[in-house]
Amino acid sequence: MSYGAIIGIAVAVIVVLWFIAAYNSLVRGRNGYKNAFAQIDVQLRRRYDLIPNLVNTVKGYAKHERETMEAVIAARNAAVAAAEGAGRTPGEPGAMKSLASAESGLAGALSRLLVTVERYPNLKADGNFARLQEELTATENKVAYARQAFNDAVTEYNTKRESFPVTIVSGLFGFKAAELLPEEKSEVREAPKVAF
Amino acid sequence: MASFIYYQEQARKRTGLLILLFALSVLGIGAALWLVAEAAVYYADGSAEAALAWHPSWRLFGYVLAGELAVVGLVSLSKFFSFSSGGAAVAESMGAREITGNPSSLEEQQLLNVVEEMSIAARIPAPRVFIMDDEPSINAFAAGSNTGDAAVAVTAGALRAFNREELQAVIGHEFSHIVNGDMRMNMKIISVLAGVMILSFLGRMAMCMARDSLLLQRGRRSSKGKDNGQSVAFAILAAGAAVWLAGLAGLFFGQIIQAAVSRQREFLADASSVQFTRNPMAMASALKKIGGVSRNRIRNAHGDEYAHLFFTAGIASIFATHPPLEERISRFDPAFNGEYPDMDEVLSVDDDGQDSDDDDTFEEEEE
Repeated sequence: MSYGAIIGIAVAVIVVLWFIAAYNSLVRGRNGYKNAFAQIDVQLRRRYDLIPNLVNTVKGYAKHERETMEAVIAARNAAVAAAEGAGRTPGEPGAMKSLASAESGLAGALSRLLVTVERYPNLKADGNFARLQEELTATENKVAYARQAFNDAVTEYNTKRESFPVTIVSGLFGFKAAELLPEEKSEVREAPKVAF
Repeated sequence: MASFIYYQEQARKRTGLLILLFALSVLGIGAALWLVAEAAVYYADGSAEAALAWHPSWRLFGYVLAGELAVVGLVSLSKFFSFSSGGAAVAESMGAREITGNPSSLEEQQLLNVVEEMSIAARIPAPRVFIMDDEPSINAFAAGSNTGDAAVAVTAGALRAFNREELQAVIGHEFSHIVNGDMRMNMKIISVLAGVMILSFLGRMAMCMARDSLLLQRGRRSSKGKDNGQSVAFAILAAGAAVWLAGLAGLFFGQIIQAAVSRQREFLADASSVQFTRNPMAMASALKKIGGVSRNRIRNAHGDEYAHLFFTAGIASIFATHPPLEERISRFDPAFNGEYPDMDEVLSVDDDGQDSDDDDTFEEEEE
C-alpha cells in the first residue's frame, strides 16, 4: 500500500469520527434544552402548591384583607388550569398564551398580597410566615432560574447547531433551531406602589 | 464594563495558554538535561576537533526526554490516583457540619434553597451542603472532582454577613468551580509538579551517592582503576547536579504557572456566577464585604493546604492563588472607589480574628 493511500484512509477515518462526535454533541444539546423545559414545569407546580399555605397563614392575622387573599386563590386556580391545559398540548400557541397570561395574573396578585403583608408587623414577625415567605421567594427564584437555564441551554444548542463546520451535520440530519422563552411581561415587573 | 461572557472566554483562553506554557516548561527540563548530556559526551572525548564537529543528536534527546517523561509520568499518575475524590471528605476534614433536609434555622433553610436555585441555573445536581460553624471569617469553598460527589461549604461568618443575593453570588462562584472542573485541573497540575519534584530529588540522591563514593576513594590509594572510578563518580555528580537544578527550576516556574492558572479560574468563577445569577452587583457587593473584614483568615489547620479551593485568599503576589480583590470588584462595579464597608462590627470579630460574640443571635445586615 502506498503512503498516499494510508494517509487518505487515516483522513477519512478522522472525518467519520468527527461526524459522529458532532452528531452526538447535537443530540446532547437538544436533549439538554428539552430537559430544561421540563424543569420549568416542575418549579411552576411547586409554586402552585405553596400558595394555599401562604394564604392560610396570612388569613390568621389579616382578617380584613379577604379580597386580596381571594384574588390570589382565584388567580392560582386559573394558573393551575392553564398549566394543565398547556400540558395536554405542549407548544400549541393558544395554550401557551393562556398559560403566560394566567401566570402573570398570579404574579400580580401575589405581589399585591405581599405588599399588604407589610402593614401587619405581627404577621411579619411570625416564624411560620417567615418560613413560608422564604419558600415562596425560593420558588419564584427557581421558576426564574429554570426559565433562564432553559434559555441558556437553547442558546448553547443553537450556537453549536449554527457554527461551522457542525452546521453540515445539522443540515444533513435535520436538527432544527430551538426557540427561546420570551420574557414574562406583566405588571409585576413594575415596582408595586405602596401607599402610606 | 464587559459582559460575563467576555470574561469567561478570556479566562478560558488564558488558561489554555498557561497549560501550554506548563507543558513546554516540562519539555524544557528535558531539553536542558539533553544539553548537559551532550556536553558530557563530548567532555569524555576531550578533543577540539570533536567539539567543532558537534551536531545535535536527536537520539540522545529522545533518550533523555523519554527518561524524564517516564519518571515524571509515573509519579504523576500515582499521585493523581491517590487523591480522594470525595468532596464531602474534604469538607469534613475542615470541621464543617452538613445540613440536610431538616435545617435548624431560617438561615440554614435559605442556604439550602440558594444551593438548589444555583443547581437549577447551573444545570447540575445539587451538591451536599456544609457549614463551618467555627469560622467567623467570610469564606466559602467547593470540593470534589466531579458533579456526582461534590460538596459546597460556607463559613458561619459568611452566613451572618451576606444577604440572600450575595449568598447566591458566592454559591454561584463555587458552583462554577464544580461545573468547570477546576478541582480536577488543579489535581493534574499538582500531580505533574510532584513528578518533577521526584525527578529533582533523584538528581540530588545521585549527587549524594557520587559524593560519598568520591570521599571513599580519596581514602584509599589504589593505583589500578583509580582514575576510572573517579571520572565515573564525577560524571554522576555532574549529571545529578544537572537533574537536581533543572528540576528545581521546573518546579519554580511550574508553581508560578499553577498560581496563574488558579487566578484565571477564579476570574472564570466570578464571571460564571454572574451568568447563573445575572446579578453582577451582588457579586461586587459580596466581594466588598469580604474586603471590609480586617483579618479574614481561616482558623482551621487545613486552611492553607486548601487555600486554592476557597473563595478568597490574602496575599497578592506572583504565587497568589486568587486575583486581587480590587480587580475582581471593578469588573462588576466599574464605579468602585476602593472603600470597603466595615464588617468587623457585623461579625463581632476583634483584632486577632477571634469571635468575641459568644451569643448566637443572628444580626441581619439591612441593605
